[in-house]
Amino acid sequence: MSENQKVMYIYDGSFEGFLCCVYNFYYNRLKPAGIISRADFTPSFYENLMIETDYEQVYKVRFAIEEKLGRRNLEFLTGCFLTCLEEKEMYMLRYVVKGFRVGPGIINHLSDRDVSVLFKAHRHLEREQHHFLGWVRFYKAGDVYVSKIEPKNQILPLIAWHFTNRFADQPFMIYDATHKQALIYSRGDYRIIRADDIQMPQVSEDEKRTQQLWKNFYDTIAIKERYNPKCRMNFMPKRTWANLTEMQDQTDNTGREVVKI
Amino acid sequence: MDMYEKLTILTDAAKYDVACTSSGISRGSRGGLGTAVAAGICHSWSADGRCISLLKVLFTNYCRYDCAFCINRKSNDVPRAAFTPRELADLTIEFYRRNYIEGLFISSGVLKNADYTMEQMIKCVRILRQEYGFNGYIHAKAIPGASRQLVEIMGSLVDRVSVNIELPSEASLKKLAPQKSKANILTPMKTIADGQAQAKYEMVKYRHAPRFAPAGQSTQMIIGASEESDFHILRLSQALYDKYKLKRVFFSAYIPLNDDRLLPAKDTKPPLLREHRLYQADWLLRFYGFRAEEILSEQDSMFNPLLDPKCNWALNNMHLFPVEVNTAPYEMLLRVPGIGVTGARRIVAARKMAWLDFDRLKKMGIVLKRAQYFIICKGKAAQYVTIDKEKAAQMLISTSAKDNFNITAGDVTQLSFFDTDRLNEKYITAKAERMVVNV
Repeated sequence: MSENQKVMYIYDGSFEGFLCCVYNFYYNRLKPAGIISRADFTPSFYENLMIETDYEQVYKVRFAIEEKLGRRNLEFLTGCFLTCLEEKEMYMLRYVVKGFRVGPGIINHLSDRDVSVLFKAHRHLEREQHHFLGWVRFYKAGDVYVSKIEPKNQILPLIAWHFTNRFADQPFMIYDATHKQALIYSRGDYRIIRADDIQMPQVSEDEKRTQQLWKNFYDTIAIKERYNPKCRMNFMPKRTWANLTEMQDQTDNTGREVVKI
Repeated sequence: MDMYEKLTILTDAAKYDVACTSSGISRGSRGGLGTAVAAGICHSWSADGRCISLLKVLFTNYCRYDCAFCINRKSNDVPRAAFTPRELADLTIEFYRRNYIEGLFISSGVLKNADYTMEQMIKCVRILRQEYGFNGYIHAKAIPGASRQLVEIMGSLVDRVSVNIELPSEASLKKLAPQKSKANILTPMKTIADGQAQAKYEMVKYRHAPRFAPAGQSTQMIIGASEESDFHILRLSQALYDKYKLKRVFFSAYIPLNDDRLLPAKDTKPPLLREHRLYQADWLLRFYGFRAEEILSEQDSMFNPLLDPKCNWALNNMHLFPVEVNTAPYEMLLRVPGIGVTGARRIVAARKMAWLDFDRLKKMGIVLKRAQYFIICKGKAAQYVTIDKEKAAQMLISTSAKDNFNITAGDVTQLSFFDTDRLNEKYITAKAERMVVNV
């Protein structure tokens, strides 16, 4: 294989796996044509390089990043890994390479393309993370409160802390249908599990009454003289409505169908 | 009356209250239910585009007062209801557990007298805090005229207390809300401010000193029901921030609900643009280091409907511009239209790493639409841009504003920009014409 030939890095899809890609980039000197996870693998013209996750390598790379770029950059990169940015691994690799040259200040190098792309993706993640603190809607099924969300980024690890603190005394589950993950909490202990096929439980009659109260509150609180659907849509895009209790069509007190506009 | 009906009546009665913020206090879990997040969390947005963060209801809409502008005034024939303290506490918990809300915002009409009403509200808050151990956000209104002790008890239980100033001057208050007075509004405000100052002082001395309304106090006033100028309103807000250390002053565009000879006609449209301009100026006061006197003056006492206050200020102070992005102090960057706190901070951080030019500013996410007329990079203005007051003014007035005001491009230079009376008139006629078309 010649010096300049590029290969396709294939890793296990975890952040640790990515760190091993960084290790291999430095020690094998093989230029990556792309870095993809095993799950997304499609054959290409490039030769494949399988990256095995080796915890010694993980430790070394993590240590190097923390030592040379600082904690803030390590946290930034961990966050970037959760974003929905396409080819995020390549951007992140270039970020690390540039970072080792520039130092911890790389995070402020916003006029650099790789940095600004990652910065934007990371900001998107942070904003979505914050939005979903408000957009999660539980309903009670038995003793457990359950909820389904469809975020673009992988936000479950980021919102876990907030919800486990806030609802410390109630067992709950948040199912991320986009990434097929579920956050499960009960009695001070939580974990995030892979969940390929989750059937959401039925909404009980009792629960429907509470939902009705909330929908009713939602409809009443709007001032009709100030009706401004565009403004609402800016803050709360339509794609989120499917999982918001108050945005479901409903029948009002008299049994008349009310359609949400 | 069932809960469904009660909730409808008491939500409907509370919806004109503006504040729904849950920010200003960070509180971790105590093992039970509830936390508070400093940044505040919006849970939903209603059809009018306002955020829903708290369960905003009146405790009751029975009221002894007869304020001209209020939907719940005594002389109005509207359905009345009242929660019991426990009902409201239970509802709050049920909603909170489903993550519908960030907490409770409780206000009330005046039952019997101010003190009795406050006692009922305190009962409800006590059930939440002490019986259910609810640790989420609570915002309560202090009833004007309530005794000092009750305001203090309320302050020690909730995160934010507020007293509505209702109208921007004493004269209007006398006219439109004869049973309220400046004194019985400002007294509780003072009590809250004092309580906070004392709690802060004790905090320094004793580690576990009790906290008093830790998220601060706010107030709101109605815009457009009485005749005060924008300048007057802005100066009043500034004084409230300075004197009572308020966290927020909210403005609420007057929506005619009652037919009253003291009030604007019932078909008046709510002055939404004016409200918007006031909020823009309010932000300039709180985060941009502006003073009210810089934004408006006695002679020029109304906002320019075509331009936001910051652009307006910049065009009037063209001698301070253009600003060199690579060297200007942070405070000056903040004054450039189109650059906000985030943008200015980002520039200050990024220019340590590399010289900035317009391309790089764009990549950093600085929006140049307005800023380009006021900045230079490495001594050069942006391509095809000359730094010139007249041209900048022409470009800054958005096409939509031009549509709204029936102004053609040629008009812009002829019209004196600061002739706001004429513009306001033009705005109103243009709106009226469009309304006719819509009908």
